[in-house]
Amino acid sequence: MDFQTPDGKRRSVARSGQSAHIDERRYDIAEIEQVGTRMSLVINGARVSLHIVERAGVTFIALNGKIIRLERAKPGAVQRAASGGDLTATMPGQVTQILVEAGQQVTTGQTLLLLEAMKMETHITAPRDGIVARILCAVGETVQGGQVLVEIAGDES
Amino acid sequence: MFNKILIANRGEIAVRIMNACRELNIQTVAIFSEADANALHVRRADEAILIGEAPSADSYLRADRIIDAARNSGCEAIHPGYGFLAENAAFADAVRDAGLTFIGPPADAIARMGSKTEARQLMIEAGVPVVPGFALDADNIDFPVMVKAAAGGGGKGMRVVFQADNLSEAIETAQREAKSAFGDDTVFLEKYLPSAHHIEYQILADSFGATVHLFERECSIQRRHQKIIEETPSPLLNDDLRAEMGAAAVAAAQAVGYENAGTVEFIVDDAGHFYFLEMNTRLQVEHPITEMVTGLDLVHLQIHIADGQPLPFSQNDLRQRGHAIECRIYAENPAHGFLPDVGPLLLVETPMMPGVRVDSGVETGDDITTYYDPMIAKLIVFGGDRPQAIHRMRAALEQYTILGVATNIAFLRDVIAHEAFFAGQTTTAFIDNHLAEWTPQPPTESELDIAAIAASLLSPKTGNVTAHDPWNRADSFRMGRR
Repeated sequence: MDFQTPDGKRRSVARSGQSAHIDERRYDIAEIEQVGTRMSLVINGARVSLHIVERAGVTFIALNGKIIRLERAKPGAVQRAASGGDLTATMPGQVTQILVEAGQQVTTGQTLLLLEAMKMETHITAPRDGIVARILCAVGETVQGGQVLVEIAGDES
Repeated sequence: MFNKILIANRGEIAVRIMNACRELNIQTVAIFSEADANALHVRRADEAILIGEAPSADSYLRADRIIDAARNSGCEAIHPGYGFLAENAAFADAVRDAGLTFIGPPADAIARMGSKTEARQLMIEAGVPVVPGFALDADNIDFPVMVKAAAGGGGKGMRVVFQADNLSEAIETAQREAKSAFGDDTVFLEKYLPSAHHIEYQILADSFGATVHLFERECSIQRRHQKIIEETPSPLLNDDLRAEMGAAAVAAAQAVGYENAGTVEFIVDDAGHFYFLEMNTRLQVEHPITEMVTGLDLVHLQIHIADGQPLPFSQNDLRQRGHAIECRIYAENPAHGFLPDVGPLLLVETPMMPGVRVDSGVETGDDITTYYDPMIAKLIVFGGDRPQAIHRMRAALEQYTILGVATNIAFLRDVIAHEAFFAGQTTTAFIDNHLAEWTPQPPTESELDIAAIAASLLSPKTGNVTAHDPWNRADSFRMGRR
């Protein structure tokens, strides 16, 4: 089974019986117990306790006080992401103002639009220099985190 | 005593007030927006009334519908909680005009303290020191200054400005935020003290003229002017300064004829000079730490005072015992600049240990939406002294697990574990000085291996936690109760 973290780290787990391989690392697994979200298991002789829950293909794991988020990945697939120059919503919220037009030259750091969520206003700024190719949102629209709001054309370094 | 109270709020504070009502054998009526139909405060109430659509302006801020709901459900009083209509003088008036009791101060006291500019003037007349202020267009502005909403609070409509060039843009942004959050875009300028202590006093006043303070709360650990950690006693105050500030806080409350619970906020420099900031004319988010060290229940006392009973103690009866700390749990993603995070809470596991209290507005299965404040719970600990409270908080944060929505828990853990925090160097510059570049510690390579193995073992059957367990639903819950 293949997993990846939001920052692109991948793990491919090959299981056979009581052992698992990740790349050339071999892990012996024993005493797996799962009650609710609590999982306890012995890996290479050491007991590990964690919380684990899966929803819609995303597995959340609390281990040693860290929250690890793993998505199921198809082997070898490259995740499609917005191109580096495009402007994506950093959080879900409502577009309150759009300060640029298609065709306009913008510079890094320039405020392109204002987003309001939970009563806090955030300035969404250009990630790089370029020309506004398309505006993909409208004032008053509720947008989701990660949604592309503005496409910026021009040199990509 | 009241038989039935409507709680005009949501989230953790609504739940907390309902708990107090239950202890006093008072029936509770919740209000809710369409986004909150299955929220915890709805499930915990004896009755719940839909008040409007998801945006606050169409629901939790609809004074008319809330008052109608209270009358139609046979309530005798309304508790506003904090935020929303809690500091809205017109609402307090309208509640009383409708023949109901407003569990809070007189409308006049709310209005006078609610205008930060009028409050400043009142305090100057009452002999309480205030932070130097400036007109928006003054020539002699002594930067840095803070742009603040006259009707503001909670860090909204606030901007720090370090140079004249940035002033007009900051004023415009603050005005927009203030307009959106409070419906009033008046802003003013105050001298900004970059490194100071934010120390506030809990006030209680009855309708017979008795006014006491329940000591201080140090609220200096803030991110972007939002409090995240509060404690009492303050590591800064000695007994003399504590008594002097307490007397000033009482004088501030008396200057507006205050009744019920309120909080007088001061900014204190390292030399111990203190200045009045504002008075919050309501129950405060961080009230539980005061409850921990005084052994009093502030919501009980609010209800008793509103019912016309005298304070059951005088200033000399009050003592601080031990040390209490509160951490505010926010649904926000520290890996993305602490922006609010939303989604279903797949797991909420709260710490269970001695001296720990969790005031939560959510449980496993609840949804966090964009409509309301990202603060979803408060973790409060009590210890015999400050070091014990700190150790206990660290342990409690380690046990607090929330999955599905990102939170600031790991960040809080690193603040609490910081040696400067242990040393009591708790100024408003703490985060900027010590943790400005903080990012969550990434999992190690071997932790990622373990996580991937665990994920591969997850049985599809038990892996999914249903977002809303049918037994948890509001309708079936109420069906069972009533």
